[in-house]
Amino acid sequence: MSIPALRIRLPSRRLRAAGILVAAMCLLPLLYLAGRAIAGGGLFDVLLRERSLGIAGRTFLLTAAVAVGSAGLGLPLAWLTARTDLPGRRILTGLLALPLAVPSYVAAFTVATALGPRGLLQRALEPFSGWERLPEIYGFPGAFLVLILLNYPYVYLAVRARFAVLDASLEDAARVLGAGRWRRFRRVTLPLLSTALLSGGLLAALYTLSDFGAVSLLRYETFTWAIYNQMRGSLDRHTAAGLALLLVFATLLVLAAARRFETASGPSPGAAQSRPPRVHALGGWKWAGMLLCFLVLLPALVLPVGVCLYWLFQAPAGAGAGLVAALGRTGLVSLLAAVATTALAIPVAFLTVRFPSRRSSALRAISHIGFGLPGLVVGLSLVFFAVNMAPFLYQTLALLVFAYAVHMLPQAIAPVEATLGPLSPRLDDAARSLGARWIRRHLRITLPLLAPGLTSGLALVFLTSVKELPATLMLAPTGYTTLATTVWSAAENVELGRAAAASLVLLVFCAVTLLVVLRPGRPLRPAVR
Amino acid sequence: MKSIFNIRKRPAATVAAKLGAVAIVLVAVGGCTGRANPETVTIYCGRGESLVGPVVEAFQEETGIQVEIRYGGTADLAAQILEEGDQSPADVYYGQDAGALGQLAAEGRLSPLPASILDRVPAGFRDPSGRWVGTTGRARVFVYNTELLTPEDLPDTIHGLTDPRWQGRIGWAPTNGSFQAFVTALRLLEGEEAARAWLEGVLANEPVAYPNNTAIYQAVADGEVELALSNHYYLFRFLVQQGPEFPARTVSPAGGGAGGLINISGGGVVNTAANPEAAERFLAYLLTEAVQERFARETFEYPLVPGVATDPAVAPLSEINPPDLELGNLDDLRGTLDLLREVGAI
Repeated sequence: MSIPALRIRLPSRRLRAAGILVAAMCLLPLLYLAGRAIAGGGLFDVLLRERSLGIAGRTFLLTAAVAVGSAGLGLPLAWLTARTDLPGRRILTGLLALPLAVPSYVAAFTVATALGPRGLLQRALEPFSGWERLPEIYGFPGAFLVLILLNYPYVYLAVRARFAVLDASLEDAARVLGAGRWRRFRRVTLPLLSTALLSGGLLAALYTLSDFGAVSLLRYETFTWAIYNQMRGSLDRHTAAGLALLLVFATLLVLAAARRFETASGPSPGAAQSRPPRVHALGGWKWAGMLLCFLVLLPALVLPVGVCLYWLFQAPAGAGAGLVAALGRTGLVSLLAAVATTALAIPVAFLTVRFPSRRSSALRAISHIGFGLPGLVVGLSLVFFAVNMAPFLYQTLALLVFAYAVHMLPQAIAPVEATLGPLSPRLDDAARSLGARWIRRHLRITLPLLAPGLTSGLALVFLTSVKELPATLMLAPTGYTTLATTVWSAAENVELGRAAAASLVLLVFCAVTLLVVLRPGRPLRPAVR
Repeated sequence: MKSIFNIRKRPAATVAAKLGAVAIVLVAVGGCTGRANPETVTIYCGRGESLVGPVVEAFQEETGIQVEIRYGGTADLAAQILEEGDQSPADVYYGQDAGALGQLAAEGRLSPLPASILDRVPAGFRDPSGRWVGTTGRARVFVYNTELLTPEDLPDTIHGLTDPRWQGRIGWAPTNGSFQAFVTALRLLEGEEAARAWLEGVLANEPVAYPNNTAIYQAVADGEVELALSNHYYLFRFLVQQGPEFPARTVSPAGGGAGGLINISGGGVVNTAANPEAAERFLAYLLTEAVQERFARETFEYPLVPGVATDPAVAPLSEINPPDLELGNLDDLRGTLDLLREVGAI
């Protein structure tokens, strides 16, 4: 990522202090887990169990499959909406990012209802086919399907952002040199997209490690499911912490694997866009493109919305009571979380991109730990630290925002790194030589240049904050019900109409937010170059 | 969003400063709320808000005590109290599983309750050491699909489920707290080996595992499985939502045993409670006849205070053949989890 001449530069004291602060904050869950697992003997128990091996195998299989599957789905969708004349691409651009806001338990429940052995699809097909059961969806196939449908937007958004700043002249040069379509894509475009594919795939992998909703409803035992079983079944926090430490280890392995690919593919050349990219005419292929979008959106979006609408119409009057207030609270805490998390991501991205070293790689790894851990574990660790070290913060909005930041930081780091990578530090040097002070340089030059990455970071953190549940239940101020907690408590009471109403409000809210953020006509790119 | 960062349209400095100021004010406002005053009781509640909310409001009106209530999962809130240690803001823990109450009591986190509260319910529905009290009862039942089975097809006891004729037709929720309490009861009543043999016998019939009781009822109604093990009151919640044509009904195993277990929802006073008197008043309030009647009507659970009638739609307690077992003895969940793991059920 770095130009050799830059290696001799050292991060400023301010930047180093910010890095240390972020590291300290992100280490809290790890310290808590280490204390619980080692003091209580949980780690020993877990390591000695034969069963842990199977759980580890399943966790890795699912994680790798979801990362690859999300890339395989996100890349063509990004290309279709960013680079072709696909009909309806303006609307599709926003819709295709929306599955990110669908809570995994909602998606898993609707997919199981629809595609289960005797689900809606089977009942629709039975009169024609005579099939009494469809093949089993439970286990790996169901968990994999739901998780790629929820996670491909990480890749899709990263690749779209990259397309927006990609230098089209490289592709044109390849064309002039006689390279065919496929060869141009494979030799020129794909390598330029590799960083985006990798960072999106990494987020998908880490989300998979931490997911509980899909794996529990579709019955595929991973570390996170095992952690919840220990915690909920017998309140065994020590064994749960032992399992969670293995999950931290898994997160570090995933990061190391991602790094390996990165070095293999090499640094990407400069990305300043010198001319608008060519729009590919799809011709007859546009039907295939639309079919792909439809096949993705049907289970990821149309089905959950359809099931919600079905229950909503059966709901008794008053099912929507209090949802507006819950919407306001959800919006407030998610906005604060998005701003705080993105702000914290900036120093991490600067340190890892501009000052690559062992220390900055360690910082990067530490800042990713929280995302690989389930929300329940992050929540409990902050309960422990807040109660013992900052009781005045316990169960305040500030602590909840802090928890979201610890849990979601990588989602903001990835896009900021991606935008920062190709930017030259010389602009900053020039401003400095012209006498601009620190604050002015950053507000007038750095932030505007980082705008596309910051915007994606804000959007990603916002969308995932909106659906966060376990940490919210533990750490929100008493009585601070959000849309996600409303969905949960209504579903617990079998008030399906109310759960559906709250889910729909949540989805519409996210859709509107996305439409504002992702305006397809105006690709996000730096305002100045 | 783009325009916010576009320096030609709006100076980023102003926008950033404004966003920062808004955030600081909001965080400060958030930081100032939630401090307890002496007339307040804080409840950690593992039961639903739509059920408990109105009861809490009535309690506030009648006693003048201000209630701060935090809703969450029954087990999650118990774990949270354990993690909070001495600093826990909770005065009352109110959950829907005797197991979680037993765990909190075993870790020394519940204070003994006065006899005036404990004596409101029969001896089987409270902690033998008096640290928690049951508020409502919930029976284990067979749930069956009414289009595929009739009540005559159902086995007399849970042991009938090991018959090969149920191959591929049954469902259960092995990770669910109520199911695990039932397995603990089975171990206590019939011994470790019999419990293991039963689990292995059912597993040989390849039962479908569901994450919770709602999923079980839905699966039975969809015909995904024909017969399943669950709790009785979910049926009535589905009937309220989906009407009488909902194609599932329940039966308590006629032969009784562990399959007829009655578990409880209940509460206790946290040992670090700042306001134990108010906490006890809340528990006592849950055991008044008015509130017991309300629970019977709205949740279709069994009221535990003698003299309060069960909802007419629910099979009366007298028709259930519960095992002779003290719920306080159901606290060996670890042994149950080990057994479930060894046989490969979870």
